[in-house]
Amino acid sequence: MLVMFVAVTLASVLQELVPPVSPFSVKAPWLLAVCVYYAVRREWMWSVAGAVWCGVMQDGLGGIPYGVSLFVFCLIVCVCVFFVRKQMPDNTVTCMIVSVAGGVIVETSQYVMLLVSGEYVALPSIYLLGRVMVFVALCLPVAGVVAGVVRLMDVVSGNAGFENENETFGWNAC
Amino acid sequence: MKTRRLIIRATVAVGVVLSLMWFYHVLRSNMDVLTRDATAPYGRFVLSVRSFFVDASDLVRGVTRMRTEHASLSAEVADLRVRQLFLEELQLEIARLRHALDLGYAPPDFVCAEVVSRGGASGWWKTIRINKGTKHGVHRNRAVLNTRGLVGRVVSTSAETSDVLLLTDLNSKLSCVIEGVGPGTRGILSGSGVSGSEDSLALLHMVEPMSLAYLEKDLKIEKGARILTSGLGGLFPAGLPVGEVVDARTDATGLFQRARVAPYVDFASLDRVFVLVTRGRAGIEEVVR
Repeated sequence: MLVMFVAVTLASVLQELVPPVSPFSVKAPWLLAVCVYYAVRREWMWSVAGAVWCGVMQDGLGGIPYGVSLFVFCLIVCVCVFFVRKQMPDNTVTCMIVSVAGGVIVETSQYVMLLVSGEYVALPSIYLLGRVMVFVALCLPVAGVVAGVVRLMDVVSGNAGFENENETFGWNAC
Repeated sequence: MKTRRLIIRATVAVGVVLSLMWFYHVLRSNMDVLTRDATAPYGRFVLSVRSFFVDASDLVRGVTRMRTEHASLSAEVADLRVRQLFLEELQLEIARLRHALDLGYAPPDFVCAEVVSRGGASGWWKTIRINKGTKHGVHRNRAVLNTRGLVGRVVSTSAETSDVLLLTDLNSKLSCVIEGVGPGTRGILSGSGVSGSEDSLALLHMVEPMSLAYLEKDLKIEKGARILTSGLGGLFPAGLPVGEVVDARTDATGLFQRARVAPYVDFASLDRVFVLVTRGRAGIEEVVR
């Protein structure tokens, strides 16, 4: 719980304070990366808790219509628990791949909800595409860094450990 | 057995999500304030660390340069103080006259704020977050300026922080006039002017000119003409400088002109802004007394 608190708080602060990337004014997805880490590499209860916490922070800090990020983050958890964990290895690369797919869904759903709620003007499709591309490009390194750091914190604090020599940092190791 | 367990887990997860969404609905008005105030101390900490390093780097760069700067700033402060004396006298006179005519007059008052972050957490809006909120008298729809001109307006507040929508945002709309051109110069200024008909490559530019629409078709608009707020709508006072005309052409409908406007404010390097707060009725009476 403490590790999750530290991870979500740090991610919220970074999400808030790191300036957006030009030219499409895209913010690095720190909270999404934390959510994906818990979805891919920890037990399902922690995954749901992480998704809810990150979703609340993302919607609250970002001015997004309430429930959008929460819903998408929980959807990511469901997909990971029921499909990804059975098909893909449990490691940082998987986190990066899932965060890319999640990034596309997050960005698109946020735009659709903002448009539907009348809080945003309709964008040219090329602008939206460019925004999604930049967002996806940011997802890869951010998810890698976050997955590595939070895993390290989990291992150091005893929440997770080496499962065996071949498979390091298993989500169900403990 | 395993499938059954999975179904139970999925049901529990869906139940949790649905009940949280209901809570979201209930707490809608307070959630953003809660999350923002929760992260405000970290923002303040980062701001103080940044100020410390900026001060330290200034010190390292040279005492001589700072001394010269100090001397010139002292002279400027003295000059501004003298000007302020005259302005205060004029303000009093305006207040007295408007009070006599029962027109009401709220003298302008400013709250200085520092920029904590940019773009919010989602990056959808071109916003800045400042370190002053309702506790300091900042409320929604107040004009935000810096020494060069209008920056934007306050769109949301919490006790400790406020979000300012920049003029360059796509969703920003503001009634403006062109200075010294004559009647019919009023138009709607919007950020960046993105539309399907325009060159999409322009979106890649870091500084995008704003767009002043619905100007009279026959109006002669010169390059470099100043754009000021019109005061219509009552949110902003009239006469606040916004930018200058880059060029103008007839719009797609052929009924109006559309001018591209370069902002006076350098939005990329905003670090300190002023929020225009009115003192209200008590302030008016205080000035009149």
